[in-house]
Amino acid sequence: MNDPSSITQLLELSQRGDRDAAQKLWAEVYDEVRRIAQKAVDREFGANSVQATEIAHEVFLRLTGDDTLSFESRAHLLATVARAIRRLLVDRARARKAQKRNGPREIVDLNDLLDSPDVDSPIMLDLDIALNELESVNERCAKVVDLRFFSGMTLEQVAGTLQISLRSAAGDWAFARAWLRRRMEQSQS
Amino acid sequence: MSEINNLVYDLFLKIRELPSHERVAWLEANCSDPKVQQDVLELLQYDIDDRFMEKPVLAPQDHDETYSYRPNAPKPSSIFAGRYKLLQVIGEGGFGIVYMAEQMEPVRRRVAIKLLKANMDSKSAVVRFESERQALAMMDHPNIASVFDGGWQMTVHRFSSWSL
Repeated sequence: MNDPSSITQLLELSQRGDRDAAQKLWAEVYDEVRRIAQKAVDREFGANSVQATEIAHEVFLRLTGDDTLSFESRAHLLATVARAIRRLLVDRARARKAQKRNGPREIVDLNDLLDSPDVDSPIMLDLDIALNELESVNERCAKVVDLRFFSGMTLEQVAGTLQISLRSAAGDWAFARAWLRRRMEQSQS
Repeated sequence: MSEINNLVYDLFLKIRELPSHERVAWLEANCSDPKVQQDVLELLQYDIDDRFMEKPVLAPQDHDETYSYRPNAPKPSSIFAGRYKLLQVIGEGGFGIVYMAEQMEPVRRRVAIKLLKANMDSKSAVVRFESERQALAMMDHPNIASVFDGGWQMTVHRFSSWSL
Protein backbone atom coordinates (compact mmCIF):
# COMPACT_ATOMS: atom_id res chain seq x y z
CA MET A 1 0.00 0.00 0.00
CA ASN A 2 3.03 2.16 -0.19
CA ASP A 3 2.42 3.00 -3.79
CA PRO A 4 -0.82 4.92 -4.06
CA SER A 5 -0.71 5.08 -7.84
CA SER A 6 -0.67 1.30 -8.24
CA ILE A 7 -3.79 0.92 -6.14
CA THR A 8 -5.57 3.62 -8.03
CA GLN A 9 -4.59 1.90 -11.25
CA LEU A 10 -5.71 -1.51 -10.04
CA LEU A 11 -9.01 0.00 -8.97
CA GLU A 12 -9.58 1.48 -12.39
CA LEU A 13 -8.72 -1.78 -14.14
CA SER A 14 -10.86 -3.91 -11.87
CA GLN A 15 -13.79 -1.55 -12.29
CA ARG A 16 -13.49 -2.14 -16.01
CA GLY A 17 -13.83 -5.85 -15.35
CA ASP A 18 -10.16 -6.84 -15.31
CA ARG A 19 -10.20 -9.97 -13.13
CA ASP A 20 -6.48 -10.08 -12.80
CA ALA A 21 -6.45 -6.56 -11.43
CA ALA A 22 -9.25 -7.40 -9.01
CA GLN A 23 -7.21 -10.24 -7.61
CA LYS A 24 -4.14 -8.08 -7.26
CA LEU A 25 -6.29 -5.55 -5.48
CA TRP A 26 -7.28 -8.11 -2.87
CA ALA A 27 -3.64 -8.90 -2.39
CA GLU A 28 -3.14 -5.20 -1.65
CA VAL A 29 -5.99 -5.23 0.83
CA TYR A 30 -4.48 -8.24 2.51
CA ASP A 31 -1.12 -6.49 2.66
CA GLU A 32 -2.71 -3.47 4.22
CA VAL A 33 -4.45 -5.51 6.89
CA ARG A 34 -1.27 -7.46 7.55
CA ARG A 35 0.76 -4.27 7.71
CA ILE A 36 -1.45 -3.05 10.52
CA ALA A 37 -1.05 -6.31 12.43
CA GLN A 38 2.63 -6.61 11.69
CA LYS A 39 3.37 -3.22 13.20
CA ALA A 40 1.98 -4.48 16.48
CA VAL A 41 3.86 -7.78 16.23
CA ASP A 42 7.14 -6.00 15.55
CA ARG A 43 6.84 -4.24 18.84
CA GLU A 44 6.69 -7.53 20.70
CA PHE A 45 3.35 -6.61 21.99
CA GLY A 46 2.96 -9.82 23.97
CA ALA A 47 -0.61 -11.01 23.95
CA ASN A 48 -1.60 -7.94 22.02
CA SER A 49 0.40 -9.03 19.00
CA VAL A 50 -1.40 -12.35 18.96
CA GLN A 51 -4.71 -10.55 19.17
CA ALA A 52 -3.65 -8.15 16.44
CA THR A 53 -2.77 -10.96 14.05
CA GLU A 54 -5.99 -12.79 14.84
CA ILE A 55 -7.93 -9.62 14.26
CA ALA A 56 -6.16 -8.87 11.00
CA HIS A 57 -6.99 -12.33 9.66
CA GLU A 58 -10.57 -12.09 10.79
CA VAL A 59 -10.94 -8.67 9.20
CA PHE A 60 -9.55 -9.94 5.92
CA LEU A 61 -11.88 -12.93 5.91
CA ARG A 62 -14.84 -10.67 6.51
CA LEU A 63 -13.83 -8.31 3.74
CA THR A 64 -13.29 -11.08 1.21
CA GLY A 65 -16.55 -12.72 2.26
CA ASP A 66 -18.52 -9.60 1.41
CA ASP A 67 -19.64 -9.90 -2.21
CA THR A 68 -21.24 -6.50 -2.25
CA LEU A 69 -17.96 -4.77 -1.55
CA SER A 70 -16.40 -2.59 -4.19
CA PHE A 71 -13.96 0.26 -3.84
CA GLU A 72 -14.29 3.63 -5.46
CA SER A 73 -10.87 4.90 -4.59
CA ARG A 74 -7.76 4.19 -2.60
CA ALA A 75 -9.11 6.34 0.23
CA HIS A 76 -12.32 4.36 0.17
CA LEU A 77 -10.41 1.09 0.31
CA LEU A 78 -8.33 2.21 3.29
CA ALA A 79 -11.38 3.61 5.06
CA THR A 80 -13.18 0.30 4.51
CA VAL A 81 -10.34 -1.62 6.12
CA ALA A 82 -10.34 0.74 9.11
CA ARG A 83 -14.08 0.41 9.43
CA ALA A 84 -13.89 -3.39 9.27
CA ILE A 85 -11.40 -3.40 12.14
CA ARG A 86 -13.71 -1.22 14.17
CA ARG A 87 -16.72 -3.39 13.42
CA LEU A 88 -14.86 -6.50 14.46
CA LEU A 89 -13.71 -4.99 17.77
CA VAL A 90 -17.23 -3.86 18.52
CA ASP A 91 -18.60 -7.33 17.74
CA ARG A 92 -16.05 -8.90 20.04
CA ALA A 93 -16.92 -6.50 22.84
CA ARG A 94 -20.60 -7.17 22.33
CA ALA A 95 -20.09 -10.93 22.40
CA ARG A 96 -18.11 -10.65 25.62
CA LYS A 97 -20.78 -8.49 27.16
CA ALA A 98 -23.47 -11.03 26.24
CA GLN A 99 -21.42 -13.82 27.77
CA LYS A 100 -21.07 -11.95 31.02
CA ARG A 101 -24.69 -10.94 31.23
CA ASN A 102 -25.30 -12.79 34.45
CA GLY A 103 -21.98 -11.91 36.00
CA PRO A 104 -21.01 -8.70 37.75
CA ARG A 105 -21.47 -5.53 35.74
CA GLU A 106 -18.39 -4.74 33.76
CA ILE A 107 -16.76 -1.43 34.55
CA VAL A 108 -16.25 0.74 31.52
CA ASP A 109 -13.23 2.89 32.04
CA LEU A 110 -12.33 5.81 29.82
CA ASN A 111 -8.73 5.32 30.87
CA ASP A 112 -8.76 2.22 28.71
CA LEU A 113 -8.19 4.60 25.84
CA LEU A 114 -5.23 6.30 27.45
CA ASP A 115 -2.04 4.32 27.11
CA SER A 116 -2.35 0.82 25.82
CA PRO A 117 -5.78 0.53 24.34
CA ASP A 118 -7.01 -2.97 24.95
CA VAL A 119 -8.67 -4.37 21.84
CA ASP A 120 -11.11 -6.22 24.07
CA SER A 121 -12.02 -3.39 26.35
CA PRO A 122 -15.75 -2.79 26.80
CA ILE A 123 -15.02 0.88 26.06
CA MET A 124 -15.03 -0.07 22.37
CA LEU A 125 -18.83 -0.24 22.45
CA ASP A 126 -19.10 3.28 23.87
CA LEU A 127 -16.51 4.57 21.45
CA ASP A 128 -18.42 3.10 18.55
CA ILE A 129 -21.67 4.72 19.62
CA ALA A 130 -19.94 8.07 20.11
CA LEU A 131 -18.21 7.76 16.74
CA ASN A 132 -21.47 7.07 14.97
CA GLU A 133 -22.84 10.29 16.45
CA LEU A 134 -19.72 12.22 15.53
CA GLU A 135 -20.20 11.03 11.98
CA SER A 136 -23.47 12.94 11.77
CA VAL A 137 -21.85 16.04 13.27
CA ASN A 138 -18.71 15.97 11.14
CA GLU A 139 -18.20 13.06 8.81
CA ARG A 140 -14.59 13.83 7.98
CA CYS A 141 -13.60 13.93 11.65
CA ALA A 142 -15.05 10.45 12.14
CA LYS A 143 -13.06 9.22 9.15
CA VAL A 144 -9.88 10.65 10.59
CA VAL A 145 -10.54 8.71 13.81
CA ASP A 146 -11.13 5.47 11.89
CA LEU A 147 -7.87 5.81 9.98
CA ARG A 148 -5.82 7.12 12.87
CA PHE A 149 -7.11 5.01 15.74
CA PHE A 150 -8.28 1.80 14.09
CA SER A 151 -5.82 1.58 11.20
CA GLY A 152 -2.92 3.12 13.06
CA MET A 153 -2.03 5.72 10.43
CA THR A 154 0.03 8.76 11.26
CA LEU A 155 -1.68 12.11 10.77
CA GLU A 156 0.48 12.62 7.66
CA GLN A 157 -0.83 9.37 6.21
CA VAL A 158 -4.38 10.29 7.13
CA ALA A 159 -3.98 13.64 5.37
CA GLY A 160 -2.57 11.91 2.28
CA THR A 161 -5.35 9.35 2.22
CA LEU A 162 -8.16 11.86 2.56
CA GLN A 163 -6.36 14.36 0.35
CA ILE A 164 -6.54 17.15 2.87
CA SER A 165 -3.78 19.27 4.37
CA LEU A 166 -1.92 18.08 7.42
CA ARG A 167 -3.26 21.10 9.24
CA SER A 168 -6.83 20.10 8.47
CA ALA A 169 -6.17 16.51 9.54
CA ALA A 170 -4.66 17.72 12.82
CA GLY A 171 -7.64 20.04 13.37
CA ASP A 172 -10.10 17.23 12.67
CA TRP A 173 -8.26 14.97 15.08
CA ALA A 174 -8.25 17.58 17.85
CA PHE A 175 -11.95 18.27 17.42
CA ALA A 176 -12.82 14.57 17.26
CA ARG A 177 -10.80 13.80 20.36
CA ALA A 178 -12.46 16.49 22.47
CA TRP A 179 -15.89 15.70 21.09
CA LEU A 180 -15.63 11.95 21.70
CA ARG A 181 -14.22 12.45 25.13
CA ARG A 182 -17.05 14.72 26.16
CA ARG A 183 -19.64 12.37 24.69
CA MET A 184 -18.24 9.29 26.40
CA GLU A 185 -17.69 10.96 29.73
CA GLN A 186 -21.21 12.34 29.78
CA SER A 187 -22.73 9.00 28.92
CA GLN A 188 -20.91 7.47 31.86
CA SER A 189 -22.29 9.73 34.51
CA MET B 1 -22.76 18.85 8.40
CA SER B 2 -25.24 21.45 9.68
CA GLU B 3 -24.35 25.11 9.84
CA ILE B 4 -24.23 25.13 13.63
CA ASN B 5 -21.92 22.12 13.75
CA ASN B 6 -19.72 23.80 11.20
CA LEU B 7 -19.59 26.94 13.27
CA VAL B 8 -18.71 25.07 16.47
CA TYR B 9 -15.94 23.25 14.63
CA ASP B 10 -14.43 26.45 13.23
CA LEU B 11 -14.64 28.35 16.50
CA PHE B 12 -13.17 25.44 18.44
CA LEU B 13 -10.14 25.17 16.18
CA LYS B 14 -9.50 28.91 16.33
CA ILE B 15 -10.03 29.38 20.03
CA ARG B 16 -7.77 26.53 21.09
CA GLU B 17 -4.84 28.38 19.51
CA LEU B 18 -5.40 31.37 21.79
CA PRO B 19 -3.93 31.86 25.27
CA SER B 20 -6.55 30.79 27.79
CA HIS B 21 -7.14 34.25 29.28
CA GLU B 22 -8.15 35.66 25.89
CA ARG B 23 -10.55 32.92 24.98
CA VAL B 24 -13.84 33.99 26.55
CA ALA B 25 -13.58 37.56 25.34
CA TRP B 26 -12.65 36.41 21.86
CA LEU B 27 -15.61 34.03 21.76
CA GLU B 28 -18.06 36.71 22.86
CA ALA B 29 -16.73 39.00 20.17
CA ASN B 30 -16.93 36.36 17.45
CA CYS B 31 -20.12 34.53 18.23
CA SER B 32 -23.46 35.84 19.41
CA ASP B 33 -25.25 32.56 19.96
CA PRO B 34 -24.97 31.63 23.66
CA LYS B 35 -25.66 27.97 22.92
CA VAL B 36 -22.80 27.78 20.46
CA GLN B 37 -20.58 29.65 22.92
CA GLN B 38 -21.37 27.15 25.62
CA ASP B 39 -20.75 24.22 23.30
CA VAL B 40 -17.34 25.53 22.27
CA LEU B 41 -16.27 26.26 25.85
CA GLU B 42 -17.40 22.82 26.92
CA LEU B 43 -15.41 21.13 24.17
CA LEU B 44 -12.37 23.10 25.23
CA GLN B 45 -12.65 21.50 28.67
CA TYR B 46 -12.18 18.14 27.03
CA ASP B 47 -9.36 19.27 24.77
CA ILE B 48 -6.69 17.90 27.08
CA ASP B 49 -3.20 17.29 25.87
CA ASP B 50 -2.67 13.82 27.24
CA ARG B 51 -2.56 10.34 25.79
CA PHE B 52 -6.27 9.89 25.23
CA MET B 53 -6.63 7.83 22.02
CA GLU B 54 -3.10 8.76 21.04
CA LYS B 55 -2.06 5.18 20.60
CA PRO B 56 -3.86 3.29 17.84
CA VAL B 57 -5.79 0.28 18.99
CA LEU B 58 -3.81 -2.35 17.07
CA ALA B 59 -0.55 -0.71 16.21
CA PRO B 60 1.54 1.31 18.60
CA GLN B 61 3.03 4.47 17.17
CA ASP B 62 6.56 4.31 15.77
CA HIS B 63 7.92 7.19 17.76
CA ASP B 64 6.70 5.73 20.98
CA GLU B 65 7.54 2.10 20.81
CA THR B 66 8.64 1.76 24.41
CA TYR B 67 5.68 3.39 26.00
CA SER B 68 3.59 0.25 26.12
CA TYR B 69 5.89 -1.21 28.73
CA ARG B 70 5.74 1.83 30.93
CA PRO B 71 2.24 2.10 32.34
CA ASN B 72 2.36 -0.94 34.58
CA ALA B 73 6.09 -1.15 34.95
CA PRO B 74 7.41 -1.25 38.51
CA LYS B 75 8.54 2.16 39.66
CA PRO B 76 12.09 2.90 40.74
CA SER B 77 12.61 2.44 44.50
CA SER B 78 10.03 -0.37 44.65
CA ILE B 79 11.12 -3.79 45.83
CA PHE B 80 10.90 -6.46 43.19
CA ALA B 81 10.66 -10.23 43.72
CA GLY B 82 11.22 -9.71 47.42
CA ARG B 83 14.88 -8.89 47.29
CA TYR B 84 15.72 -6.44 44.53
CA LYS B 85 15.37 -2.75 45.11
CA LEU B 86 14.94 -1.03 41.78
CA LEU B 87 17.08 2.08 41.61
CA GLN B 88 16.67 3.63 38.21
CA VAL B 89 15.81 2.86 34.61
CA ILE B 90 19.01 2.53 32.62
CA GLY B 91 17.57 1.49 29.33
CA GLU B 92 14.46 0.53 27.52
CA GLY B 93 13.44 -0.64 24.12
CA GLY B 94 11.22 -3.02 22.24
CA PHE B 95 12.37 -5.77 24.57
CA GLY B 96 11.29 -4.28 27.85
CA ILE B 97 12.96 -2.18 30.52
CA VAL B 98 16.35 -2.46 32.15
CA TYR B 99 16.81 -1.18 35.70
CA MET B 100 19.82 -0.76 37.85
CA ALA B 101 18.93 -2.49 41.09
CA GLU B 102 20.30 -3.47 44.43
CA GLN B 103 20.11 -7.08 45.45
CA MET B 104 19.54 -7.14 49.21
CA GLU B 105 20.09 -10.82 49.98
CA PRO B 106 21.85 -13.23 50.23
CA VAL B 107 24.54 -10.75 49.28
CA ARG B 108 24.12 -7.06 48.86
CA ARG B 109 25.24 -6.01 45.41
CA ARG B 110 24.40 -3.99 42.37
CA VAL B 111 22.68 -5.85 39.56
CA ALA B 112 20.98 -5.02 36.32
CA ILE B 113 17.45 -6.29 35.97
CA LYS B 114 15.75 -6.75 32.67
CA LEU B 115 11.99 -6.88 32.81
CA LEU B 116 9.88 -8.32 30.07
CA LYS B 117 6.17 -8.09 30.23
CA ALA B 118 4.92 -11.65 30.42
CA ASN B 119 1.26 -11.65 29.60
CA MET B 120 -0.08 -14.92 30.83
CA ASP B 121 -3.38 -14.60 29.04
CA SER B 122 -1.88 -15.73 25.81
CA LYS B 123 -0.94 -19.32 25.18
CA SER B 124 1.92 -18.54 22.88
CA ALA B 125 3.35 -16.03 25.34
CA VAL B 126 3.36 -18.67 28.03
CA VAL B 127 5.06 -21.13 25.70
CA ARG B 128 7.65 -18.56 24.71
CA PHE B 129 8.46 -17.54 28.23
CA GLU B 130 8.47 -21.11 29.42
CA SER B 131 10.99 -22.10 26.78
CA GLU B 132 13.13 -19.06 27.58
CA ARG B 133 13.05 -19.99 31.22
CA GLN B 134 14.08 -23.54 30.43
CA ALA B 135 16.89 -22.34 28.22
CA LEU B 136 18.13 -20.17 31.06
CA ALA B 137 17.84 -23.04 33.50
CA MET B 138 19.80 -25.31 31.19
CA MET B 139 22.53 -22.76 30.75
CA ASP B 140 22.78 -22.43 34.50
CA HIS B 141 24.70 -19.28 33.97
CA PRO B 142 26.14 -17.98 37.21
CA ASN B 143 25.54 -14.38 36.24
CA ILE B 144 22.04 -14.60 34.90
CA ALA B 145 18.98 -15.52 36.91
CA SER B 146 15.39 -15.49 35.86
CA VAL B 147 12.41 -14.87 38.10
CA PHE B 148 8.73 -14.24 37.59
CA ASP B 149 6.94 -11.65 39.64
CA GLY B 150 3.64 -9.92 39.20
CA GLY B 151 3.24 -10.79 35.55
CA TRP B 152 6.76 -9.72 34.70
CA GLN B 153 9.54 -11.98 33.67
CA MET B 154 12.74 -10.76 35.14
CA THR B 155 16.30 -11.63 34.34
CA VAL B 156 19.00 -10.50 36.71
CA HIS B 157 22.45 -9.74 35.36
CA ARG B 158 25.45 -9.22 37.54
CA PHE B 159 27.45 -6.23 36.55
CA SER B 160 30.75 -8.07 36.72
CA SER B 161 29.88 -9.97 33.57
CA TRP B 162 27.84 -7.36 31.89
CA SER B 163 29.08 -4.33 30.07
CA LEU B 164 26.59 -1.54 29.91
